[in-house]
Amino acid sequence: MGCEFTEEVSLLVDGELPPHAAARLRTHVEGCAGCKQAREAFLLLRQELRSYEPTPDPHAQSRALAAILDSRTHEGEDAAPSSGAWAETPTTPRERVRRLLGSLNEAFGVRRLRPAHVATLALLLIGAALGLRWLAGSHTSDGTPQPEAPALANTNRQPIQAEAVAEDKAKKSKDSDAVEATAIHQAKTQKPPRPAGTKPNLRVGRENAQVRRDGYRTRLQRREGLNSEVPREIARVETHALQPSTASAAPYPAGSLRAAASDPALRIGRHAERVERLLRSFRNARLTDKDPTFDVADARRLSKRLLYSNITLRREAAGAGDLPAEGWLDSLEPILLDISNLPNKPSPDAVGSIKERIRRRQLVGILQAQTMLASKP
Amino acid sequence: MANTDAEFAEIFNEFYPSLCRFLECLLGGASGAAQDVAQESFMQLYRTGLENIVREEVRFWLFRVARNFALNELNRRSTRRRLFGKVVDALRTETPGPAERLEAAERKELILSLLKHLPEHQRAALLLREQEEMSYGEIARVLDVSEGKVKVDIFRARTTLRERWQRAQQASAGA
Repeated sequence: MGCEFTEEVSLLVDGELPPHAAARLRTHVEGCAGCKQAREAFLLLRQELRSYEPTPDPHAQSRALAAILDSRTHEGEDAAPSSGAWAETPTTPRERVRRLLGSLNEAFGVRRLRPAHVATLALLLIGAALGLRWLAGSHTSDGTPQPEAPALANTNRQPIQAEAVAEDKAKKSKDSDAVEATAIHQAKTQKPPRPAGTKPNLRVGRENAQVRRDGYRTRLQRREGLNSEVPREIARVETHALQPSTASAAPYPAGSLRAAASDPALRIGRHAERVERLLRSFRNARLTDKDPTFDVADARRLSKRLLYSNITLRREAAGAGDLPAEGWLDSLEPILLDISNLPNKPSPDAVGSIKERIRRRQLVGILQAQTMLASKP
Repeated sequence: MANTDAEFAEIFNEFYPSLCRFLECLLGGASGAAQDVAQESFMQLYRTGLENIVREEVRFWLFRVARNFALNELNRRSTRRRLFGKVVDALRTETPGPAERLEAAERKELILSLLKHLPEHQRAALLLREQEEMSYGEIARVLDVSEGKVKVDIFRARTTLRERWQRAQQASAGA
């Protein structure tokens, strides 16, 4: 190792020596143990570095290329002002339609959403609305009075339920895309609408409601890990949740709140929903003094809270061997950390960089998909 | 426009995998960040326009731009790590032992951990030489330094890695 020619051995393995100097050094290396070892070590190192395989992500390449080629179209149509690409509020009806299609593309992972797709979605939404209307009719048209929402036996649950209701309201008012996604999910799980001009079959309606209740109870038992008996406390809350008036008002059946607290998949789903709301509003906010709809301090606080729960959930996912969940939770942390460290008056560059990363990594779409997956029984 | 896009797609598909590998090693194994930086570099190329760069120079141009973006990312992450450490320390749990890992993953991890100890300029020079098989003159153009510096950086990087590699092997043999 202490030979004065060792540095030249590095040039020799790289082919950077003139031919006559290379020949002379090769003769030296054959007789020098230090230089010989160095040469072998350098070549072994080369082999290791060349055999390095980057972490596979088969879709990354095509996704990146598509994003770059799409960027020119968007740049041309946006005609973004000098304040940056983060002035995203649509101004014309055509622009709004394009944004909506973009959001739907992102939500459903479709490269190009065609008008036929939109028409199908619209039909599904109409079907869901008619189905809900029919269901409401089957409960009220038999002349029985609507039972009032019973008070919960355990008052400690009220804040949780209130929070869930508040979340639902906020979700409905702020996030139209998520509402559409929920409606589509409902359309998949609800009955098709009753044909026009026919009377509702009340007996069948009640039987169906019973079947749904039984199905729900089975799912609840499975989630709670109970096969024989539902604890009295849960059963009472569940019964209340199944009353028609409360069941339609609450975003989750009251009994499932307890399940949500213990089921990792549901907790991850709710977490994904919260992060999605934050990132979506951050991505769409102008973040100027004149923008009353977004407060940086609030976003910072919320982001910090979500970061803590994200770390906990990621560690749980890693412990359970859930690699996909660990992966997408891991990708959220740098963004959440950067938002939680924003100053009161962030520079356009700092904000633009975060927005760009949210957009490029399609985080909102990924989170929306996770929320939908978690909401499936 | 269609022709330009087709030419761009061809260049993208040719260089994207190698650029990602270079960036992943440079960024200490952060594959997500490497993909981001690679995409950002190609975006820059797309905005600059292929007509403004000589075809033979595109590869060097890309690696130069990617390395600059990676430097920004490394700076950001060093700041982030300082803040993040406080949170992570509170939640630190036991990591799985070496016996639980696969050998290939171990080797990959070892390479990355060895590379992390090199200064960034040495790491970049060595990776461009060993993985991209660039000559010293080409590396000098990408990194915007002299050929003499490239020669010294590569030799020092190799010497450091060799010593650390031997130390790691001795430690694993003794364990």
